Amino acid sequence: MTTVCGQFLMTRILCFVRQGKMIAINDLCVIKNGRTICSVPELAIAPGERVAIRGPNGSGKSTLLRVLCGLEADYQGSYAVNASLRDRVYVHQSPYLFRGTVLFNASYGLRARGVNRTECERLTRHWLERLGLYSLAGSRVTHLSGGERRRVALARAMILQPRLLLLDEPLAELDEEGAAAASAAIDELHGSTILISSPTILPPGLNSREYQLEPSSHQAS
Amino acid sequence: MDLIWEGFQDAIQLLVHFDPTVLDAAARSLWISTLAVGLAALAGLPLGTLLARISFPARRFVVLVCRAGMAFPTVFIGIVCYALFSRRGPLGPFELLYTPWVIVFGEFLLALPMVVSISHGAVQALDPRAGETAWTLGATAFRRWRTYMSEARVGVTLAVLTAFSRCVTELGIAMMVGGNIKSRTRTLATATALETGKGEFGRGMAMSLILLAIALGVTLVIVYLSREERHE
Repeated sequence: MTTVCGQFLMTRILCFVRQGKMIAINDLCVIKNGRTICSVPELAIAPGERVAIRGPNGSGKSTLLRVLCGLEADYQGSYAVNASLRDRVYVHQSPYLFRGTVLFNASYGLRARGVNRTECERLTRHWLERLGLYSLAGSRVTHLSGGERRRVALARAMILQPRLLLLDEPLAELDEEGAAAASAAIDELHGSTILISSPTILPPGLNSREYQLEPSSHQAS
Repeated sequence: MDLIWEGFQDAIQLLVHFDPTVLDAAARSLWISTLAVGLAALAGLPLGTLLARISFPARRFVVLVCRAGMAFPTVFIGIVCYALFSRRGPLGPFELLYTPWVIVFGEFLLALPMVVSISHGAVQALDPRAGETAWTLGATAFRRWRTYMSEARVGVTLAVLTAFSRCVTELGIAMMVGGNIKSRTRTLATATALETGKGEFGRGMAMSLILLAIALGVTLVIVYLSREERHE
């Protein structure tokens, strides 16, 4: 019976995705150590939308983004994303930078996708300039401040212009200038659907709508 | 005390005059150990990464076997190689016993568990976000492996250097399956044992001084790299 219901839900979600939705979620639930850490009854997001995933600490914002990008496989319910795994990019709440220079980090995804050197240099230069990092291109990441590290991680993800960009609290640690540069860069990604998790209200214009996650601290039955 | 002092003086004389027998054994020791450790690194670094990143039922057992393998006595590996390559052994028809190639094989077996265990520890200690970030940025399995090697490069270098240090100074394998044949399979360790046994204390001392210099050099590099990692 459960399998039949699951198949029915999956079919419904796939129909939904085929109807032009980028993301369709139905009764998604993540349970860790007997505790529900993320619960989304229903959510549909159209291509190109910019949605703020709001909610207090522990409401499962990061978990939701991790499930959507394929990093979290242990979930119940169903969801569908109308983009391949290579077209979904997730930026951690506390981003990890590889050893090496800002330039090396920023161009990592492009090199992984086999983009030729000239194009790689052009795109890297553009996005580093966009995020106010071009003067730091040759600097080693160990010498950067917290805000600069975050902007490098944002540049590294935005440079790929993925169909689905999942940003986990991207404006944390950024000063006013950094937040403005990041917001302007996000604004430039016209073809991407962007989900931005944040415990607070995002600056005006950054998101087209909000989805509120409820704190889900109750024990799973 | 006089014996040590005279031996030391003789050793310096032989080294200063580039004694051909000493240099011959030193060169052979170096190329055999370099080749064995190179092959062990080629096989062991991907294996160590797989053990750290991919979950399968016997993973813990394989890790345990590799850790145990780090403590294998060289004479045990020597006797296993002897059994494999002796005339009646399964690899006997290749007629490799008492050639440098069988020493390379034995030292490969000595180095492999060391490279696997140490690199496994280094990759496992990496921040889980390193792999996740590479994956979400679209890196292929091979590029992710290269990224792990780069992120854990100090641990990986330590694995290779520790294995090299153990191989270049080992005696059991080279003696048992190499046979200590002059100009063919004589290494620094076997030559040191032979010359000292013959009463050529100075020659033995010269060879052991080279071994000591190699071991000290590798240790210094390990200490330097460990300090570098602490500073980063």
